[in-house]
Amino acid sequence: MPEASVQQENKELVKPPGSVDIAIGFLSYNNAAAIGPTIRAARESLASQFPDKRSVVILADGGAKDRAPEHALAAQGNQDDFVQIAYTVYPAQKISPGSYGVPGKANGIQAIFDTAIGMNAGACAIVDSTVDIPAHDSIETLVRPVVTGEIDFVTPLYLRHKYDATILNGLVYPLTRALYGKRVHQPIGGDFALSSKLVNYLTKQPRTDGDTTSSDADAWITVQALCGGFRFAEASLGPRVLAQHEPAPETSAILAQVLGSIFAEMNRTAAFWQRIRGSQAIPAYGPGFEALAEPAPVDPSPMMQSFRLGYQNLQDIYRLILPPATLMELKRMCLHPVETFHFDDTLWARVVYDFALAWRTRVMDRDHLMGALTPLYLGWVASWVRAVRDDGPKEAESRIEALCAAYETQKGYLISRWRWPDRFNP
Amino acid sequence: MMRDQVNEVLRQTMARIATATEDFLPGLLAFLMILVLTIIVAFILRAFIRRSLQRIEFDHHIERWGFSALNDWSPARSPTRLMAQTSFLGILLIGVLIGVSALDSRLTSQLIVELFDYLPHVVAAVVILIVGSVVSRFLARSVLIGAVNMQIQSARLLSIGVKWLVIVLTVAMALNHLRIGGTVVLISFAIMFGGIVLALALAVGLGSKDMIRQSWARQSDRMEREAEEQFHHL
Repeated sequence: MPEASVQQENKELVKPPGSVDIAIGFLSYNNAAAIGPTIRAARESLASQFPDKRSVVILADGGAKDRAPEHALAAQGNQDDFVQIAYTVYPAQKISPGSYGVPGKANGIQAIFDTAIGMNAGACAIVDSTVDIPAHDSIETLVRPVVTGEIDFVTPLYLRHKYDATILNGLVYPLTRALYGKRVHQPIGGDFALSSKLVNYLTKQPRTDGDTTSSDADAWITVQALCGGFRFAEASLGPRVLAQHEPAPETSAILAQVLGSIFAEMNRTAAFWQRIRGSQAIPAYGPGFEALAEPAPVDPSPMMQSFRLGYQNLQDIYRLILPPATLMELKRMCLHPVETFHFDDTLWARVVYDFALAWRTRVMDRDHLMGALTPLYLGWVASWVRAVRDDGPKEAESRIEALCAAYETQKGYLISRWRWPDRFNP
Repeated sequence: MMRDQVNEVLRQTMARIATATEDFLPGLLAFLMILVLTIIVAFILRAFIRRSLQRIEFDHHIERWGFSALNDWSPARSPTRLMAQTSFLGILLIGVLIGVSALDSRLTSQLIVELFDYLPHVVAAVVILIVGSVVSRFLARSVLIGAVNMQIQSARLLSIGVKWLVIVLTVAMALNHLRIGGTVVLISFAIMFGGIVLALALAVGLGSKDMIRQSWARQSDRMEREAEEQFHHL
C-alpha cells in the first residue's frame, strides 16, 4: 500500500474542516457526467436526514482526464463541506484487462480513510460512482446503522431479479457465507459504510502488493471486517442503477477478477475460516421495496453450448484440477438436453472448492485456471436459468439458500483437501 | 653375413616393439583401472540419483508439470530412470576421457579442449529447448482456453498449431546453436515455418471463415441478448 505517496498528495489538497460526524467518500474515474448530480443528491439527503450531524463529501479522483472534479465542484453550493483528494493510479492498474470498477480502488479507499481519520469522522461511507448511481436516499440508509452506533460495517443489498448477479448468487455469496459464517449477500457490492473503529482497524492491517482491481479492495475490506469480529448489517437500497460506462468485460475476465480476489483472501485467512461452522444471518436495514417486474426469459442454450465445448476441449486441464468422480458427473451432464440439464448444488460447490485448491497450489497459471472455470460456470448458469424460469422471487431465494446449504455441507471436503492436498490429489 | 644382418634387424625390431610395449602398457593399465573405477562410481551415482528422485516422486511431478511426453522417451516410461541413466553415461564418458589422457595426453588434451569449447553451445541449446517447451505449452493452453471461451469450435486445432509453431522455432534455434546442419537447417526451418503459417492462414481465412464469422456473430448476439435480457453476471 503506497501510504507515503497517498498521504503526501492528500496534504496538498485537503482543506482542514475540523471534526465531522459523517464522511462520504466518492471514487471517480472517467465519470464526469454522473458525479456532479450524485454528489449533490447525497449532500441533500444527508442534510435532511441528519440535520444535527456535520457531514462532508470527499471526492477521490484517480486523475482521469474527464474533468470530473470540476463537475463535482461546480455542483456544490457550500464548498466548506466538500473535500477533494487525489490518489495514485499505477499504469498497471489502468491497463488491467477486463477491469471492473475504478482502477486503483485500494489507493482511493486508503486516501478516503486517511482523510476521514484526519477529520475524526464517526462514520465513513464509500461509494464507487463508476459502478452504480445510488438512489436519492440510499446513502442515508447505508450510513444510518453506523451513525447510531449499532453496526460497524454495512454492505449494500440491492434488489436484483432472479437472473441477475449470477456470479454473486452462485459463487461469491455462498462461498463467503460458508467460509466466514456470516450471510452477507453482496460482500463485494462496491458501496459500504464503516464505523471509525473499523476504519482505524483497516488502516493498521498489512496488505500485500499486487492488488490491482476494485474487487480486490472490496474483498479485502469485507474479509478483514469478517475476521476482525465486527458487527455486520445489510442496507436495503432498492434496485441497482448502473452508471454509464464502457460495456461490461467478458465473462471470463469478470470471473477471474472477482473469484481471484476471493481466492486470494481465502488463502490469506485460511487459519480463520477453517474454524468456522455454519453461518449466521445479519440484520437488514432500510425500507422494503416492491418486487421487480418479471424479467424477460433467458435462453440457456448458448451457455450450455459453452459448457459442452469447454468440457470437450479442456478435459486435459480439468483432469489436473477435478477428481475422477466429478469429471464423470460432468461427462454425464453433457449428454443431457437443455430440457433436463441440471447442475447439482453439491457438485457445483465441490467444483468451486476444487478450483480454490488449484488456485492455492498453483496447479497452473492462475489466469488459465479462471479461464477454464468459465465454461463450468456457464453450465451452472444454464442450469440455474432453467430451474428458476417459473419461479417467483421467493422461490428463487429459497434455491439460493439451498445452494448455500450445499456449500456449507461440503466445507468439510474443502478443509480436508486444504490440509492434505497430496493425499486427495486427483 | 646375410643371416647376421637379418638377425640384427630382427633383434632391433623386437627391441623396438618391446620398448613400445613397455611404454604403452602402463598407460593401458592406467586406462583400464580408471575405467573400472569410473564404472563403479557411475553405478553408485546412478543408484543414488534413482533413489533420490523416487523419494521426491519425480515422475509424478514431471507428469503434473505437463512434461508427460518425456515418459514416451524414457526407458520404462520413467523419467527417473532416464535421469539416472543419463548421469551414468555422463560419468562413463568423463572416465573414458580421463582414461584416454593416460594413453596419449596430447590427443586427449586436444579432444578435451574441443569438447569444452562445444559444451556451452550444448548447454545453451538445452536451455533453449526447455524454455521453448515451456513457452509452447503456455501459449497453447492460453490459445485453447481463450478460443473455447470465445466458442470457437476449432479451438484445439488453433492450440496445436501455435504449439508446433513455437516448437519448430525452438528446435531450429537449438540446432543453430549446436552448429548442426548450417544453412540447410535454416532454409528448412524457413520453409516449414512459412508453410505452417500459410496453412493456418488458409485454414482460418478460407476454410474456417464461416466458423469464425459465426463465432463472432454468436459473441455479438450474446452481448446484445444479455443487454436485452437484463442479464448481468455481476
